[in-house]
Amino acid sequence: MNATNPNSELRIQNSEIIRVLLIEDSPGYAEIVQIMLDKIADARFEVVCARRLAEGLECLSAGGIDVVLLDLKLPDSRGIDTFDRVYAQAPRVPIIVLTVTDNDGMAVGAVKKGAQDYLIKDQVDVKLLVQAIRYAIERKRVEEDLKETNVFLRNILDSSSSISIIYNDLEGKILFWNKGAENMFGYKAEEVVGRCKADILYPEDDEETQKTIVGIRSFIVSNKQEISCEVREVTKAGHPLWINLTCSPRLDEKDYVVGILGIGEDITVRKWTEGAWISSEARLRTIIQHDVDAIIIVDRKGIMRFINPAAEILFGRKKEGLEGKSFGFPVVPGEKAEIDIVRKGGEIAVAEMRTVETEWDKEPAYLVSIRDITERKRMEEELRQSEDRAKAQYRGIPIPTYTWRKVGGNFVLTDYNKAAEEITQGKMSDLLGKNVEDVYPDAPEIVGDLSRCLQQKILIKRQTQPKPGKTSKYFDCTYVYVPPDHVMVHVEDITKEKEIDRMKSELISNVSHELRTPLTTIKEGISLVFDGSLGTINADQKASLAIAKQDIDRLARLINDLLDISKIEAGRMEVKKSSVVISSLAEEVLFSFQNQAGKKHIRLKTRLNRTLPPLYIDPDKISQVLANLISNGIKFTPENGSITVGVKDKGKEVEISVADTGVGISQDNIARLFDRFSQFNRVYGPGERGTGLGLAISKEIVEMHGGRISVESEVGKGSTFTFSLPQVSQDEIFREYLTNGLREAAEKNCPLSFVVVRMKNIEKIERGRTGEKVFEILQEIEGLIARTLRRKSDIVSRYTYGGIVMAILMDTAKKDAQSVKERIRQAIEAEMQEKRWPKDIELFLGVVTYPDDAKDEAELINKISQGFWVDEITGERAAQGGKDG
Amino acid sequence: MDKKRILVVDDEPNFVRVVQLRLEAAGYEVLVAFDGMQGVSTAHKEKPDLIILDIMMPAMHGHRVCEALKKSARTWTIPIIYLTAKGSKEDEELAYKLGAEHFLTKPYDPQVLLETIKKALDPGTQLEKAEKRSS
Repeated sequence: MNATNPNSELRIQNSEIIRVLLIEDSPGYAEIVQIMLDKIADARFEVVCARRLAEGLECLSAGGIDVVLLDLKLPDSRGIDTFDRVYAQAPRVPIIVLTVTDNDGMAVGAVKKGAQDYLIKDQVDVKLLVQAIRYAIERKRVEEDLKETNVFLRNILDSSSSISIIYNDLEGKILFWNKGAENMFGYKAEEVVGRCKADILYPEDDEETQKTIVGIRSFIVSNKQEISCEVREVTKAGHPLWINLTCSPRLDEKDYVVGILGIGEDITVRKWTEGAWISSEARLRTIIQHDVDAIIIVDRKGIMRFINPAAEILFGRKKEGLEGKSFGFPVVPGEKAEIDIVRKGGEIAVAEMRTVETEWDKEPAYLVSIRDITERKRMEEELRQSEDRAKAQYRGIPIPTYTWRKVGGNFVLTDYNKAAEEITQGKMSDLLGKNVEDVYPDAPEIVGDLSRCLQQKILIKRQTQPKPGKTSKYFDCTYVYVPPDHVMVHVEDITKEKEIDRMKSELISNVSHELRTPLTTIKEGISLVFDGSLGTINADQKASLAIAKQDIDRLARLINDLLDISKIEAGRMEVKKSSVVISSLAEEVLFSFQNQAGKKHIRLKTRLNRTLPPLYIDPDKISQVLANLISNGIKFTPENGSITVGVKDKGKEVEISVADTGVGISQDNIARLFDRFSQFNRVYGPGERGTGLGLAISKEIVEMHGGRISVESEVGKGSTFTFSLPQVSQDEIFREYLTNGLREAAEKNCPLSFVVVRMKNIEKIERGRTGEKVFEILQEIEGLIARTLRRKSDIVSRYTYGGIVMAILMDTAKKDAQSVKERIRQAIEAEMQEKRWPKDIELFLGVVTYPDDAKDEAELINKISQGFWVDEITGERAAQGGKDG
Repeated sequence: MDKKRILVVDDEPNFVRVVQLRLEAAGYEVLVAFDGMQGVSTAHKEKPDLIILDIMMPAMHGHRVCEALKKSARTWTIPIIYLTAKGSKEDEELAYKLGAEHFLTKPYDPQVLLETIKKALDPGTQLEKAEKRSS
């Protein structure tokens, strides 16, 4: 059983309870999320629901939330503001945005502002939801760790007040400037960050320093090694300083030098001691007395003759205990050595020792200067560790992950993690440094996704299909932008889930077949007796069969509804959108109830807006919603009442309402109205009974379309159900078709053809007539084309620019598209004649094919809207053609 | 006038029997076949006036039966009505593409079935179809 457990792949890493805060105003959707999460066997979720933003913020402030699922549209807050407020309340909790559509860019905006991910409601299934939650928590953890590491590092760097730490890029532009540098040079960080180092620190006239700096840079770039030297720099006040500068390269994953980290120590005094001949021992003594470095004078026999206060501190002993004793370290003039010093408490300090020859008490001696570099060493170690830590986190992500870096116009593989190594069985190292085209020669879409991710700084998701002869697997790819020029790609094998999905839908289809077949036989068997086809029966027999028949019908409806619900749950409810005039559809559905309403003397009324442009919806599904609402209305409205269907323009949305004068619904019941199997006001006795699923399904369908459904009701007066559907412009729809079509064509490596009909003289036609007339003609052409097309995948679309209607034909070569064009032409000519379109109309027909005529979206749009015209039909010609034929 | 002959092709014996009762009650003569292969051979031998066809059947799938009948010179004029529990959009589209006249789903409404049969058998419809083919 385990092997087929659909959720076995959905393991969440830790076995702790994950507390999910769901901020969502629709109780139905909240319930679906709850149900989905309950299905996960290996992880436990505790879902806290908030219906309003205020409630959600309260829950967050109480703490203990692991992840937030956030609907941006709430009763008390709408749009990106909703996200901002949640993020402000709990910046450390990962947020996943729920949205009905990603067209408005709001969800992407939220991701840019720090949301971990977004989910489109009608596309969410168990797998996707869990994956999103898992990624979000993991990603947030890594982000927070990195942020913490950064703060930690900055603290270390700033805490060293006597050492300057400056980080600059290869052009010398200062990117980091610590407290030590502020103390040493007198410039505040904000004064210098972003400026060029050479303009600030090196005296203009000092050619030698300039040369040294250039030398350091070229050494580092070519050798990628640390280098130390002594340079003369200048403070803000203009005082010269001698700095012992240790420069080390910062390398990226591909071993390119991207910056130089300079650690500087002030050695002005020491330099001076070395450089100038100190004649007077007293003067030397004063100088070294105040040096920050530990200075010890050692005579030729190795005996310590003088100890300065800094040395006392370094060794942790008083000078009385040291002077006259043997120094213990080998002393070689002119050399630099690293030594370990054991302090009084046994603590070990690392120090750097330099020796110069001098004179003491008229005798030759050594001046040994020792600098405590423990702190610097510790910092270097911390730096290394934090990098290791970030690397370990990256490598440990359980999903195969690859990092690409943009180099010129291409992307180069710079890193990959352990999971990636495992699935390729150690072949990954050969691919490091290779271009994306060499690594994936068959997947041209990857470069596009990488570029888009980098350019727009957004998260991109793509599911890849199996490629015949290459791979039989499905992959879920997530592209994550990593500043400044990297893209991290998570690639998860979802073949198993896909297979399970397929099995699920097969099961649904089989069950439906198996249930319906016997039901059909039972129904027909009873009907035959009932309607007297097999001989007369008496009234009691007939009444008994009538009851059986009614319940069989109810059973059939229940099976259909259950199938719908299970399709929705499995994410398999297909929405096949096309352009639909909603007022006509509403009217059509309403009057199909004429008979049923007539029996109860219920009047059917409409309040329609007929000038609305068509909506982009699934006509069958929306009919189902309307039919459900209307039949409920009739059911709960007493005799002589009325049902009114209304369609209202609300700008971005269209509002459709079904109002009845029925019994009404109490406030208590409204809350549960859209839940499954909730039935109220049931009337006992004969009559059609509901399944209790109608409203739940309706709600799902409306939400799949990016709309919402609600009800207002007063007991005894009636109820009004209202649902909204978004208005999308024709061009937006066309763009969606185009983008999806091109992606599919590229993936399947097949042609994509457009048969374009363009009203050439649209301005002229419009001038003479109302806009409605032109719209009507375009509408008719659209209908004609739709009737000409034969395959399910064929689409009719509009592009308002220049009055264009077109057929989009997937997997169709130019030659085949030409014959479709012929069919369309014949259909239009016949219609022109019959409908008597204006005679001055001029239509152009043409075929544009990808990849023959255009290689990308922009080029396609250009070709479609600009030209490529072969055929011409005019009202005149069609009329003549009609006479001839 | 002679009784019109209808061939019912379905692998569910119970279903075939009730449909047979229904059609006979409505005045048709009924032939039956319990799988696709039998359906094709009966259609060839008997040349019925109309065929009622299921999709999911052993030996030969309904769509393949339809395709075979519509390709054969002897049977292509016989109107075919799909009557199936597998009522997906894809099936419906494919059925019409293969040349079927109507597509009904189980459980069916007896009145609708009888009206559909009447329409398919109507000489006017038949004539129109023949014209379409020859043009």
